[in-house]
Parts: sequence; C-alpha cells; structure tokens
Amino acid sequence: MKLNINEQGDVLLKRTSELLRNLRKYRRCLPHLKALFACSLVVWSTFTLAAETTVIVNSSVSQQVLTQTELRQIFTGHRQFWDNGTKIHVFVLDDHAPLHKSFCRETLKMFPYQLSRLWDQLTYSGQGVTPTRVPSTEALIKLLEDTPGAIGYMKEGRATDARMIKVVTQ
Amino acid sequence: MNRLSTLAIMAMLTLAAGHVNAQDTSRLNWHGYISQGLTQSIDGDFITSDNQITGELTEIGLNGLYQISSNVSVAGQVVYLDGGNRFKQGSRLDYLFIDWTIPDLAGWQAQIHLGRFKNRHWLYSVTRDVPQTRDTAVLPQSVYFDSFRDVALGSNGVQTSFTKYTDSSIWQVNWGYGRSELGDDQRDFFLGSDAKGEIEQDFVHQFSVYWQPSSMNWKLGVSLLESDFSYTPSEEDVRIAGESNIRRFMLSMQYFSENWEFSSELLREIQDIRGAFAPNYYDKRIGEGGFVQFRYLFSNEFSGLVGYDTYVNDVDDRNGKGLEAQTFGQIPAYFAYMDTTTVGLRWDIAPRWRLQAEHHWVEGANRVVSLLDPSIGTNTDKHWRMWSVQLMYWF
Repeated sequence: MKLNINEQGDVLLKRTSELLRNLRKYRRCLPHLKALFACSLVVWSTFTLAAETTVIVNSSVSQQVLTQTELRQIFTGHRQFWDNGTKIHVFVLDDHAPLHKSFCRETLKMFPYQLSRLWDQLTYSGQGVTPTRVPSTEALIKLLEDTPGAIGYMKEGRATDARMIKVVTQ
Repeated sequence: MNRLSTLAIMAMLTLAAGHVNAQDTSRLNWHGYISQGLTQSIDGDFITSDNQITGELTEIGLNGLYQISSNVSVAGQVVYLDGGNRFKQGSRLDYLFIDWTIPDLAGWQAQIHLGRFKNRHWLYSVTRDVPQTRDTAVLPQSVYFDSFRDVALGSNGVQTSFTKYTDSSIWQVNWGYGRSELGDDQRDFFLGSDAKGEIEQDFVHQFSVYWQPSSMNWKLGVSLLESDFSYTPSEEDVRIAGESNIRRFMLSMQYFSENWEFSSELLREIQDIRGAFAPNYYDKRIGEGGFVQFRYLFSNEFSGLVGYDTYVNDVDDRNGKGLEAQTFGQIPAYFAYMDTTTVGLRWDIAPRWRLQAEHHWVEGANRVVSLLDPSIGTNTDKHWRMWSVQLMYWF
C-alpha cells in the first residue's frame, strides 16, 4: 500500500508513540528514544518541505501573484488568457501521478477525479480548452519552459528556467 | 449515412485529429471518443427486442474548437450513435456554435453561445452522449428520457451563462432560448404511429442557477424548462391540429468526496395537450420522479456504483389503475410508472481507456415505449432487466 507524505508522517508518529509506551519501563532508554523521535521529526519535516509543490509559469508571464480563486479558474478551464491578453497554456501530469494528486489536494483543494470530470465536460461540450496532459515531470517542465503563457507545477527546489508564481488566498 | 461509412469517416478524422492534437499551441483543438458495447434488455424491448444480446451500443464523437480571438471561438461536434431501440441510430450534429466570452461584466464572467448549443441546465445534459463523462450507459430515465433525447439535448438558438467567482463560492446562472427539429419517431411517440402530419417544437425556454463552494465539492442547482409543441396534420390523417405545453422544474445536487461521490436530481413536470385527437380534447398530467446515485472509488482504477431511479407519469394515478381502467385494459397499469435499481462497475484500464459494466432491475415500463404504441400490451413485462458492458477510448 502506497502512502502519501502526510500519511507516512502520521504512521511514523503513531508507531514511535507506541514504542515509547511499550518501552516506558526501560526508563533509562527514554532519553535516547526521545532523541530518536526528535530526529525522526526533523527528517520527516525536511522530507515534507522538500516535497511541496509549487506553481510555475513560463518566463514570458508578467503576472507575479495569483489568488487561489484565479488559480482555480485557470486549472478548471474557466480562464483562458492572462491579464495582458496572452493565451494561457496549462500543463498537468496524468491523474494518478503523485505530484498531480498533491497539487490538486494541497494547492487547488480539489480531488483529481473531480478536476478530470470538469475538464471532460468542457472538452466535449465546446465550452473551453482544457489542460494538456504530459507523461512526466521532465516533459512538463520542458514544455513549460518552451511555451509562452504556460503554467504548471513542480516539486519545489528543482532547477528550471520557468518562474515560480506566488499563490495567495485573498 | 450508413454505419460502416460513418465509422470509416470517423476513423479517418480520428487519425487526423491525433496528428493535429500534437500542436497544442495552435488555435485549433481537436478531441474525440469512441466506444463500443454489448447490451441486452430482458423481458422488455427498451434496448433490444426479443431478449437479444447485441452490439447496439456505439458512441463515436469528434469535436473541434477554433479560437478566433481572445473572446470569440467556434466549437462543433459530430457524433454517431447507436442505442438500440432507445433512440434513432445514425450521425448527428451534436453542437455547432459561436462562443463569445466577456471576461468581466459587472464582476461576472459571461459566455454567450449562438447556434446549435448543448443544454447545460442538468447535471449530465451537457455531455449526455459522451460515455466517459457518464456514470452509466443508460442514464436515469426519469430525467434523461431517451425517447426524447434529441429535443432535450440541445437547441438551435441562444444560450448565455454568467459565472461569478468569489473567495468562498461560485455562482452560475444559465439561460437559453431556442428550438429543435423533431423527427417522425418523436411525432409517433407523442401522437401514435398512425399520425402522418408534422410536429414542431415552437420554442424551448430554459433557466438554471447553480451554487458551488470554491472547492467545487458541492453543486446545488435549480432548473426550469418550458416548451411548446404544435401539430399540423397531413391531408390524409387520423389526427387533427393540436398543441402541447411542457413545464419542468428540477432540483440537482452533487457531492464529491475523496473516495465517493453522490448525485441526485428530482423533477416535477406538467404537460397539457389540446386537440390532436379530437376538436375538444384536453388532457393535463403532472409527472414526478428523480434519482439518487452513489459511486465509491475502491482504488485509482476501480469504482462501483449503486443507484435508484423512479418516475410516475401522473401523480393522480401513481399505480396506473386509472390508466388501465380508462383504456379498458389495453394499457397495463405498470406503464404508468418505472422504478429502476442499478449497480455498475468501472475499470480504468489505462489513461483514456475504460471498461464500464452495469445492470438495471426495473419494475414498470413508463419510459420504455409510447403509451400510444399499438404493441404496448406485449412490449415489456412488469419486471424486466437490462445490462451493458462498454469499452471506451477518448483523446
């Protein structure tokens, strides 16, 4: 069974707590176990931070900040142009790609299948142009770097010519 | 156009579209779908006759959207459909309209469609013939009545949609006015196969309002429809001139959770008819119904569905005893209602490939055949079933 990062963290915490309870009688070990627990938390936090998704745009996009609402409009196909009139090209990974799932859940606050449903409705009723699905993160970043007006996502910390764009809730 | 030539043209267009689709940055976007299934209706002639298992479950579509400017585009789709006895087999122009988008109209985003447009007022109406967007091949018949699909699916006219995004919610207001061409099959459904004249839809007027929270995991809506029909008899006709009015009021609801989704629509429709059968003939009925559907996602690839759909033709005669008495037993009472229990399974084999199976247990036969059909007494049993297995691919 595959677990996402948060679930892995939860399992780690739970198992460590159980271990602590079971070994309580061996009090002399407690300081060492606490240190181990603290180390685990540090490792887990670092891992979580490293795995965060970030929204990226082609360097031609002049907009510096997007609101959460604007981001949803773009990724649900309801906004097709940037403020300066440039066409927006959205690139995403396949529905089951872990990065796509975490982007949908954590950034858009939607479920991947829900988004996919919306795109199909738009595509097959002539109401708009939906995102282009690409098979890998490398392909997504390459397309994003090469396509003016493009928007997509990647794991934070990757080297790219594309620019990170800030997403604010208000 | 026969089925083979249609399939050949579609296949060629599909190949061409695959080539064009690679150019995602162009102004032109092409998409399509193809699906084929096996199906059977048992003890009822709704899909297949005489309990036959057939391949009469074919849906093929190809669409294009051309962006003329930042706020004007043209969109069109052609489809080939074979649904057995449910509706007329053949190719259709599904939609072809000019889309004019106004990004900001007093804080609302406006979209205006001129031409042949799709009905976007019900949960599944806008992509009713697109297999991968539906939960089942046969949609709940209380709302998505197959015998009347060509009229309910879309219209020639104007449709507008106004959407307002706020930080907490999304409002959408839709309005449409137009009319559709009716075929002989729909005339026969309304007036019986001995009618030889011409039936026309004078207009259909539709309005709906939907609300969603910003996460879009809820969708709540209300829709209204009003339509007038008129009949002009031919020179040698057993029917006389007549007219009919239909009004439909509907509530729609959908909820998306991480591992399950729920959808439901409830309707009430009022239909009256004047003339057609006799100079002073007048009849009015109020039909009611609705469906609930629950889908559980077992994994990324597999999901299962259970659903229940119910419809009564006349709220003053829910069990059909009045209908049976009125027709001196010619029409059995169970043709006044229809209750359907559905289970379904879906397997997403690979990206853009899906296998979907479903089984329906039905009591009653109101949505199976016209009440004026001479074969009604032997057409369908009180309890009958239908099933299908459908393989689909889309791009």
